[in-house]
Amino acid sequence: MRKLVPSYFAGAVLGAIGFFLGSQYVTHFIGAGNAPDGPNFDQQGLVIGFIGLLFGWLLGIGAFKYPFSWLLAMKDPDHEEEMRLAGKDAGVMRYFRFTTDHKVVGIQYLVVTMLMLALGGLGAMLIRTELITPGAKAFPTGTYNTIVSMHGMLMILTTISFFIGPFGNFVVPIMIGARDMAFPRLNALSFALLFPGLVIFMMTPIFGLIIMNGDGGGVQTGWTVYGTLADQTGIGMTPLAAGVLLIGASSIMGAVNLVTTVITMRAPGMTWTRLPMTVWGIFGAALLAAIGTGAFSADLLLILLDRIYKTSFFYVATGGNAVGAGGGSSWLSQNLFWFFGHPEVYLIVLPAFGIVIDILVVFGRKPLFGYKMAVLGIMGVVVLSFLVWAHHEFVSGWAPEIRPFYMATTEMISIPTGLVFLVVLGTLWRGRLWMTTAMLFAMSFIWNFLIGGLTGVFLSDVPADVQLHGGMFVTAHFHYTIVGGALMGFFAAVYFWFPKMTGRMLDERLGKIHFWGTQIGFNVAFLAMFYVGLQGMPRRVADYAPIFAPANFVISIFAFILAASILVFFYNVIASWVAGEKAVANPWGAKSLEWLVPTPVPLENFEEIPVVASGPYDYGEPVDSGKPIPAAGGGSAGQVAG
Amino acid sequence: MATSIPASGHAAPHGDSVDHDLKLRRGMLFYVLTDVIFVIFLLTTYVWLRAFHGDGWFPQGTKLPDQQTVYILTGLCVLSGIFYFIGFMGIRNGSQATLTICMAVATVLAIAALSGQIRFMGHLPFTTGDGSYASTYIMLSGYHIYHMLLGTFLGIGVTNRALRGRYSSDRTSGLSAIGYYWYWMALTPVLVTLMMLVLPPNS
Ligand SMILES: [Cu+2]
Repeated sequence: MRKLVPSYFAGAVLGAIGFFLGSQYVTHFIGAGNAPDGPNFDQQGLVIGFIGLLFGWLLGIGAFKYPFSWLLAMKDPDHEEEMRLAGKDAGVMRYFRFTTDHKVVGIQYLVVTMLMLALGGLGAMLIRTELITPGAKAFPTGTYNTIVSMHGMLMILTTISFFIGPFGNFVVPIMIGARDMAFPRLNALSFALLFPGLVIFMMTPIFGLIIMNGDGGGVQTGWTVYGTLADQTGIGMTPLAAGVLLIGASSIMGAVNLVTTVITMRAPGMTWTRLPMTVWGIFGAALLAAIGTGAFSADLLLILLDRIYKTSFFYVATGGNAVGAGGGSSWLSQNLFWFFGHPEVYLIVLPAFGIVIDILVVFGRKPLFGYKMAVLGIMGVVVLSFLVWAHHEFVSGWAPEIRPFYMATTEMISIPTGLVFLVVLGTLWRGRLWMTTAMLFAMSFIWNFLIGGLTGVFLSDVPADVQLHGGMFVTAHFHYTIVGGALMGFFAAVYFWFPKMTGRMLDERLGKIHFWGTQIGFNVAFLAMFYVGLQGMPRRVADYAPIFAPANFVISIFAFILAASILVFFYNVIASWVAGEKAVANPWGAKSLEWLVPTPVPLENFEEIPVVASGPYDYGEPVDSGKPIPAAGGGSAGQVAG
Repeated sequence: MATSIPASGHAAPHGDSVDHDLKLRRGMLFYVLTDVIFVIFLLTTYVWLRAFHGDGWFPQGTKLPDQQTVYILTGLCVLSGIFYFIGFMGIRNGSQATLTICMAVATVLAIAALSGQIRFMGHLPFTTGDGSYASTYIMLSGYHIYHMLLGTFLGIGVTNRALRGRYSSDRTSGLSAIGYYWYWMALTPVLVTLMMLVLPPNS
């Protein structure tokens, strides 16, 4: 029993109690109804419930212990206590409580992001079920809109957490030769905020569709939650905005932590020009998260205020059935959203750039072609991605005279991206390729993301965008960047680091089935979607004209094939984790630091902090795979090639 | 291996070659930076709505909040920031007394500003439904209150720790890290007051 308090179980119980007390507070204790010109008490109660949930959860997992012992100036925790908090001797329980070890947090993120991927994928399958033939049949249209919104938002949250969460936490500190993240407690807190954020987010269908208003209660906005629409849509919008706000706070904390870690925690000799590209990619993504997320958080906060307190940030109309005094601006919401929304795409893809490059080097057995070019490419994307957001508003009517500027900057961003492609191809050129599943996925990133990038250049062109903007062409383009970029990169990363993270190899045969199913399912489905887009099929609809029927049938069938192959992946992960082949410390013969420590990685990663004497890409000499380097276990290390 | 790094006053839990002072200060700097960016977006909202305003920005008959009270509350925040700085410089020069007294004063001033602000918000001459000016004013002040709540927690902690002699001339990294937050907290109401009141909203 003592083991359960504090833990995630205690957090769940207290969180539920907190939610109940909070949400009942307004209606039962104040006893207020919904006055026509007063605050919206239903939604206010819900938000107070969320706050109760958050505090109950944090109390239950013991997150307040350290802040208050700091406040009361109690004895600073000694090393022994820090180790207990990091999960020493806690066994499996360390995955179910507030644990500071970055490796535990990484595994927690891995499991939760895969769960999110499954939920978001379920949404995709429901969408394709509705669209398999013309005529809206499977769901009422309001429910369909809610499913589309949930799928979009959930997948965005998933892909944002994809790399920074599992690999930024597990791999990056070891890669740079650190014992942990810069702020281990903050790190544990980032995860501890993601989880209740998700729970709140998932109340959207529960409150929006089931409990409150049925079909009209869901979210009709799509993942872009434009303010004017979000202000007026069903009650499901409130948990969605609150949950995403919380997840945003979690990702800002994670980003601050990662940036600080990379800047201040590198081992001696780990200079900026010796950082593996994975670290550069995740570092760039963390910068984007730290800067961009604030805009979206502001947008969501204002939406919540508009909805609950009838403020006038986005409400435009006065008179008629207007709420509040009006005076808001719908374009304000669009700009806040896209100032985050565009960099967010790069926040998703940049880590994949770095990870793919690293994997190509390892399985190409060749030094990296153009290190500085790759860094320049990644950091160039970071800078440019903040100058392109209004290309999403070419047809919104906002400031048409500045469209050429955004068209130019958007086309310009293909230059740093092109640098990365050049590095990738130069690295592959005349390498001796080892075709593992990880390598296959890394290589599939090249053509899939290339299609996503090239169609993006078409869309950045104002005349073309005016034609294509409302159609399925945009949907196909976007999925080629996110699935082709992030999902392929994620699969590559899982196959690559799974042995280090779990101590087991993933099954290669299942991996190949997964790979080919994914490629065939994804490419056929979304190439067909480009086709219907060019034919003129509008997006965001539950029904379409019969002329689009054959292509949509093909899209749905191949989307199901894609989903089936991802089920193979999930099976592979679970089965291999339980009973897969045991992994040696360095199964791929790679050279970056995380492969030079034993598997499972000991609590503080290194017996002694390594002194790095070379870069991570010095291939060309024979590789002694599987032999642990003494720095990790033996404690006798001085110089280690990193 | 548990080497302790004396300069930070903590047993070094992680890493052997890491500058823990620097880490703490950099981390807080980045955190404050993300907070600044968030506030910039909130202020963007103000600029945007004001620049493209229609009748809903400042509906006829809207009253301004009591300027004198706002200036006093803002002054309390700024004063609190100044005392924090004096206390910090005091311990840099080895004076425990200066630190303790100044931190206590800074914290009391912050609490006074916070409770004054909350009271003031209850007596505003407008509500959230009275146009974008009123909405923006309440939103920005609300965010300021959140800042002050967190600040009060930190202030009480710092004062308490100063009382118990946890800081000395070579152990100030926690103080300077919290200082970044504190100065930003003292600066925000100045920005808000300048934009919302000094610049006449209905011009
Ligand atoms: Cu974009």
